[in-house]
Amino acid sequence: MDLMNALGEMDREEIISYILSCKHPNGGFGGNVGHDAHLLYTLSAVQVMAILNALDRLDIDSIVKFVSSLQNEDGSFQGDEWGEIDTRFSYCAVCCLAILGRKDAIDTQKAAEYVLKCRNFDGGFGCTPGAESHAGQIFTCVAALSILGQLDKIDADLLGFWLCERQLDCGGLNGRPEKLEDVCYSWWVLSALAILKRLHWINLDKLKSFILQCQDDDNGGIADRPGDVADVFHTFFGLCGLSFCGYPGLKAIDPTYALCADTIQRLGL
Amino acid sequence: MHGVKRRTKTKDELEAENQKIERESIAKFVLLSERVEKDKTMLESELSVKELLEKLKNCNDLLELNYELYYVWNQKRMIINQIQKKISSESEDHDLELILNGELNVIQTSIRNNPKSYWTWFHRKWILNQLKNPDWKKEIGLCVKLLSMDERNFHCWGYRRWVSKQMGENLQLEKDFTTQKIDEKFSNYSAWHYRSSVLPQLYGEDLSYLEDELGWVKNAFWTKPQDQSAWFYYRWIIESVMKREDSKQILETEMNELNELIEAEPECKWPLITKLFLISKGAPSDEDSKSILDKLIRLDPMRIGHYNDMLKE
Repeated sequence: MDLMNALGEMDREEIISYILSCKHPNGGFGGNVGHDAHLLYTLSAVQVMAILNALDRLDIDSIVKFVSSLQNEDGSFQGDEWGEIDTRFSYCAVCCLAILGRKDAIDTQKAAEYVLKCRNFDGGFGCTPGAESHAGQIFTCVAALSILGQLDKIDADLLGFWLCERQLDCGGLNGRPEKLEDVCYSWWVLSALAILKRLHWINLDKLKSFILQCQDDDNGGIADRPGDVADVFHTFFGLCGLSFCGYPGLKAIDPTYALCADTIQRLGL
Repeated sequence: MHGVKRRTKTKDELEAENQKIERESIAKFVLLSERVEKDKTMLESELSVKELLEKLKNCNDLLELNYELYYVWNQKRMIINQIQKKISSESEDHDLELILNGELNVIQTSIRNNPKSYWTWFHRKWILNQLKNPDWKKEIGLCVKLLSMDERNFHCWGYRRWVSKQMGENLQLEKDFTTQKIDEKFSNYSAWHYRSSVLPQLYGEDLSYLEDELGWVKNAFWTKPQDQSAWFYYRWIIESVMKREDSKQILETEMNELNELIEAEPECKWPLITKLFLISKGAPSDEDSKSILDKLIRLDPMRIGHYNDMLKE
């Protein structure tokens, strides 16, 4: 909604109330009321509060304690107490703490080292060391390294090449070689390319046409590909992609934090 | 029955039927959710193993409707921990291995229905870590079966990598598996990727394997030059070759062969992109980079941004 300058059409207090009701005593947030605390949803909660300019309503120390407690000795992050490790969680942790101005709470050097261990032969990144490169994971790793000030460790030409080859003849993007196009890669691929300053390696006009074709003309919103049912997830990523393509009427989106540029400015990031 | 004519349902009738089915599904989901939520509060008291197993089944019933309910997977683990505690305190006599293996069967069904759920795969690893005698061969067998149904399922490839490590990592076996998968389908990027991480571990400092590897990857892109997987892998092999003393001779041979392919497939961009790459590594060339880039811009206008940047260099 913020991308479309329509944030005012929603009840701010209601959203804040809802987010706070998903909080746990340990500082983490769940995906819904009564759902267990997890890094994924803790980041989402902090991002939403940042958009609404309501970070002051959060118990920041408790969130920082929760997030930093999930870092392991090798620098990796687990999503919650149960121990699943994935570079998605590295991004969630690092991004969350950066928004709160508390990167000091973790071992940033080790965090970066772990992400770099997940780099592959093609310059891309996977979810754990040795895992296949995937645009989603590439976004999380590139963004994490950007926040940690270690973008120079990436072979930007090699990775940029791999990423720009995700664009198919239809203009849409896939997430890995030989897979189908999907609107959500308009975010994962484009944000990574934007961080690497190689957004122009993609044909943005063709991508814009593709995203527009994915609109659900009956019910509104954007779907994963033309003809499918829309959902909030693909609508968000489609709008992000359109923002990168310079579509009129949309705010600029920051590729590292997935927040509008004016929010980033307000936060001083 | 006699004389009953068929009647095609109207659009409204079909719509009403679908809505009825949807309402019933939602009602079932709500009922099961409430049951699982109530179970969670009961976990704080002392429950018998029999009662705990019932709670486990309630979780499974709910997950069947939605495998992405991560907090329900968590609840299963809480229940299993309590079961283990009860059994180990010898206050009850139950076969823990049997219960855990039962869990593996439930997860196998989950994986079949939703093979791309992060939560499901993690839970399987967690259960295996609880077992005294996990059957790793069976787990490899599961990976073989699932990868025969979807050779690009990265969850499964990751799982196989994890299982292999638990078994003491037979790298030759892993290499042979990638050979088999690539022979089945040259565009299996997941297999090429896995191979790229296995080979350096298998051979270490000994780079003599690269010659066979070169021959093999070229067979792939000569057969299907439009397929990008082999080309990405080839770049990596050449990077590895650069560490060898005979890299100069190899580069020259590779360039000559590539030129033959370009002659045979003049409209294919991949050999041309790769030619630029070989030039950047010091391979001798009959053609300069600008001329190649002009061709690429014509063949692959979508990526003009990339090619223009290369021209500037």
